[in-house]
Amino acid sequence: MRRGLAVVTALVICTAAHAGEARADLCSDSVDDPVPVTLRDGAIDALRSACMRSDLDVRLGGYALIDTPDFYGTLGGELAVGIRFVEHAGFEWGATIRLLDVTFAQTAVLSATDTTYGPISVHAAASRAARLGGRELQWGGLIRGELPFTRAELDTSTAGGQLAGLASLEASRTLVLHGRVALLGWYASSAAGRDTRGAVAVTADASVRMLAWLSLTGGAEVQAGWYGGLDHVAARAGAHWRVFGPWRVDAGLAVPVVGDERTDVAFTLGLRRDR
Amino acid sequence: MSWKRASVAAAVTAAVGMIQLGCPGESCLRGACEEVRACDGLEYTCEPAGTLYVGPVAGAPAELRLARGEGADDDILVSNGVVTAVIDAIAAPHGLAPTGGTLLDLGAVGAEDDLVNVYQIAGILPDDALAYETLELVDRAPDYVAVIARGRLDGRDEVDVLTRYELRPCDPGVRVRTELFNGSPEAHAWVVADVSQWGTRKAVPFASRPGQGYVQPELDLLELQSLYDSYDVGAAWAPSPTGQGYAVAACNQGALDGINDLQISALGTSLELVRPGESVVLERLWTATGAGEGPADAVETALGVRQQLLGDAAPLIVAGRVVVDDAGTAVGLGGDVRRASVVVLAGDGDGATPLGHVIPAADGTFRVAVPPNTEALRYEVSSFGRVVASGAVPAEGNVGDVMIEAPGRLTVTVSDGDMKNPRVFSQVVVLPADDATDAAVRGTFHGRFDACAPWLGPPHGGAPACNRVLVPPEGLETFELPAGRYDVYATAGPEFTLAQRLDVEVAPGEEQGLILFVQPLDVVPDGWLTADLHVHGRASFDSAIPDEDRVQTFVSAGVDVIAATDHDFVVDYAATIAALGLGDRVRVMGGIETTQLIPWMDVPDEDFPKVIGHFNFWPLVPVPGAFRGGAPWDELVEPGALYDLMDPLIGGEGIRLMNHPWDESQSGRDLGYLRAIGYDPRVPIPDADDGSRNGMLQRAPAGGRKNLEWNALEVGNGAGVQELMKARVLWWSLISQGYPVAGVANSDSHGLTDQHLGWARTYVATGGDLAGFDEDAFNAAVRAGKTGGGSGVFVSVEVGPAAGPRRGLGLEPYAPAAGDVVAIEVRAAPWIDVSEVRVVTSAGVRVLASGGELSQPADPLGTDGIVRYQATIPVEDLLDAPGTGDDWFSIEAGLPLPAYADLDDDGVPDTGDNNGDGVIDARDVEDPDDDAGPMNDPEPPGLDEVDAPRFWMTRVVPYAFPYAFTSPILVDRDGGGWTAPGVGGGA
Repeated sequence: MRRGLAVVTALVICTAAHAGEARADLCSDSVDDPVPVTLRDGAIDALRSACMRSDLDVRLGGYALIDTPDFYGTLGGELAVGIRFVEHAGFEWGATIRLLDVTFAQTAVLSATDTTYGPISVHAAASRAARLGGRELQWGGLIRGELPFTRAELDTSTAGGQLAGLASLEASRTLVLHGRVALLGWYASSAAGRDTRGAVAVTADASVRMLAWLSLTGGAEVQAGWYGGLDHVAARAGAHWRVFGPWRVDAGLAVPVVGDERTDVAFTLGLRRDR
Repeated sequence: MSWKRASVAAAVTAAVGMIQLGCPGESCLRGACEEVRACDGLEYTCEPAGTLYVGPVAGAPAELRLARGEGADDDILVSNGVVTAVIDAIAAPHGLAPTGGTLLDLGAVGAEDDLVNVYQIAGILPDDALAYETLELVDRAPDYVAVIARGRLDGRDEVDVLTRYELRPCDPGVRVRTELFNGSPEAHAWVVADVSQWGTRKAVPFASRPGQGYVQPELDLLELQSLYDSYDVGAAWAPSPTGQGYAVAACNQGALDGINDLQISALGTSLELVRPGESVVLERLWTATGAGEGPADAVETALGVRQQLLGDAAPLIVAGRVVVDDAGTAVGLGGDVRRASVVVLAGDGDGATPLGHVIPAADGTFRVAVPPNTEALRYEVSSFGRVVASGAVPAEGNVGDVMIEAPGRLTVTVSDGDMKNPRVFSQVVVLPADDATDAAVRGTFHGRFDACAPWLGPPHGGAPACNRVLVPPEGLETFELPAGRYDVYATAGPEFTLAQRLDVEVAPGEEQGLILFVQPLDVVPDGWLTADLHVHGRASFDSAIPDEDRVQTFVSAGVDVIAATDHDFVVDYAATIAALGLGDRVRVMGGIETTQLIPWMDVPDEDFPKVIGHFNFWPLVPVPGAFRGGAPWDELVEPGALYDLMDPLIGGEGIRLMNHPWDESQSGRDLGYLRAIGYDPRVPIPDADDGSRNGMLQRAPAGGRKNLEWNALEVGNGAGVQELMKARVLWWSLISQGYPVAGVANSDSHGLTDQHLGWARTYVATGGDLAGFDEDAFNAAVRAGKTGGGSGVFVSVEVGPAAGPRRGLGLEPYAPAAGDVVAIEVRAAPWIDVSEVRVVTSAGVRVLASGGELSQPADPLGTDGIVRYQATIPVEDLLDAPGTGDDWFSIEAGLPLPAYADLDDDGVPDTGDNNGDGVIDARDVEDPDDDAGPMNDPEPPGLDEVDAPRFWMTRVVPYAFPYAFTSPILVDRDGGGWTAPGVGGGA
């Protein structure tokens, strides 16, 4: 799978020069945004561009962890709905609710499946335009947090969030680069204990406009701290295309390549409507 | 309304709807151990409230202790004067538990404990066992006392666990609370459950589920989840006069989920997904009460927990009296599970649900509490293992008098003819004399364990057990049995004649007297001692035979020397031998059978970790009050490292015996080391560990001894030939590759009925007698290979000049001179058939004599005809290939061995002619999921097959098969030192 990702990425880069129409400005078309494949529960590590968006998002996500030597595996899938508002130029806020969360875990011959819902996450983001080397640059920040006690399981209090610096650069008329430096935090508290985790994540993604309605995205993420050391160096790949009018679809997957991360692959499929 | 406002409103509404005051609770793991206790809503009162104690067993007041338990001096005892529990010390783990902190003993004060141990798990893998690191003793008398064990899942450092054992005044049981916190970053499918190791022959779980009771679906670890069920309470009882009833009820949930099996029960929370940051808590009350009364009292206590905490309706009390007709008067019958045993069921037919079980008191009265049930209730009264009465339970629960047939009584004396100086210990075996009696008296312990005809008592306990009775020499032995017509046999072992009395008619309520005579036979010549070097007693987790009965079997089987080899515990029966005055009749060496239970060993090409199987070590001196009687913890080490651990204890003269090297695994635990590593007897063992399976033998895991440095090998295990047929090819392979060790044969007896002490036995040429027994000299003779083994047959071998003198058995290489001969003598009691003598060399097996070439006694019940074969054979004629190559030989004797084949092509026989078509092939494989097996001992002859081989032998030792073998003699043909001939040994 990793080899396939490399091939796709190379293909994207090689064909970038032959892509379709250029955009009006850096943030004019949300098809250039990266695909938000997440590895953390509650999507607290969700990726985005520095461009402010106003849209409705219905998203399927999932992951798989298969550890045969340890006789352990887990599969997860979720359905979430999110909405974003641009209040005025450069400020955005929004909320996401996970309507369905299905998790299956198996250790040796014992397995269990849990179907639940929640949490509700809220976020605020701000950015401003600039120029870098004659190119359009959008830079800003994001704060996102899971509201406690918004999961179905109320015996455990969970919260998490992301504080990130964002940047998106129009590298060429068909290529947009996205960067992020994020702090992730999470805690859970239940009858018998309390646990907290944190990590630093650095991501770099590229969106190549292949056609007027289609962008291919690829990137990498380095995260450390969640497991105590290097969590992962993960490769991402995806596609983002405008289906009709304000409707667009994005799909992507992420594969941790090195590090302590035990998840083998995560994927996402989203349907968005710009407003 | 705009998108924005609608979205905001929806989000707020959803948030408000989902936000509740669901603050996480407190727990002992979070430090609130005084506030959060176990089963807090339970209240018990008594007058006066007893003394509370928590502290080391060694310091516990005598009046609070249990009469029998495994607790060592440093383990922790908690008691409230009503019930006593022992929690093992952290560094003293037992059974499957990775650490101490588990419930080791539990009982009413002064009772005998039958628990192996109860430990906690979160899942099925070793990593999911709760591993405790600290024990905190909490003394809050007069309010309560507690032991708090803290730790983590074994192998998952981020998962914190805690178990609190608490006793309050008047509590009838221990309040237990276990907490688990998932501090790992992944979700897991976990439970919090108590695993009760029952041991298969001690306490038997009683499950109130349709069609169950004491018989539950067989545990299949691969199908574990499909076996999960819900139980109102968990219960168990050891069927013996002292056996307590055990029960457990949950305090914080409606039922206990899990499985019940003869080996283990696992009961706790339901299997659920535990996400990061989530907790699982289980609270329950464990109780033990009664002695010989069944689980009824304990179950009633457990039902009381449900009544107090879960709002269950009060249980229905079913009461009555079991009576027999004594000259027209109803007289109560009870006081023992043999005489009467009452089960109350809901529903009818095979799907009926057993709800309660009780043993009536001596006056026949019984009382058993059952949970309220909408189905019609009925009772069944069993006597001597069969249901003899049943009926409907009235709505108010009083069934009145239940009339059953009175048992008869037999009084038996067994003598060698000297009535003034009785010396004979014997076993009396009772068999039905006809099919009608067999059908009428065949019984079981409520469907559990093998059937016996007649069923004189639970098969794994003290005598009478199954159809066997121990008869001491000095007096009469009277026992009860159901009416019928019987054949009665008396045996004092294979060195005595066999006595019989046929067609003994036993009528209800009447007594018969018998005198049977057995005579000693000169089967084993002077200079030899007989030995059983693999024997279990009640100290083993899987044996329930009382010490007194165990010691009596030593003598009644006529065995001179015993190695007491209990699982992971050192005993030597010294006190019991002294009490019975048998010090001149038997010598017992303290020993141990190391028994790994925690899978850990990686074997090439195997997906699952293994254990190393069982090994015997002796001599050992028991250390009273010490963990394992003074033996070390033996888990997670390879054999070589185990030898290094044990060598200082057994000394330089000690024995390291590899037991049943190819025995099948039980519950996923390997019993035979060579099978565990997949040793191939056809492939040479490399000179060093090369990463192969055979190469594992050359590993020295702790830098000391290598894995293959056992100094004796158990070739024969039991009276039949199953294990012999597998072990001998492995033994031959090792001999042929230059790793010769003594071969021994043992019973591996765990009680009176499955595997009989002394069948098989080892013969050791010590040159002396029992009176002059020297432990070091005896063990030196074993190590030197001056041994043979057999099931009822003795073989001696000497080599040397035709005119003598010759040498006997031994591993010292023998360089034959021209004209040297091998002198062979085969001896057996007249009632044991011998019709074949064989020689085994590196080239294979060859028959030396058969049929008419052996002497057959005229009267199997007489004293003549002990010597069956004598021959003097030139050495060169004995060896297959003439020439100068070194070789070895072993002599076997007995009946022609059954045919078995190696269908899975691993070099070891595995399958018999199970369909009887004369060909062993895939059609003989009975389990479609297997590619081989089974390999069964031949069926014993029927009642009317008096002239059939094995008839007399199998009257007293079912499935016995006459066999014998000698340790090898290494033949150094060229006199230049013995060179191993290489693999290809035996077929």
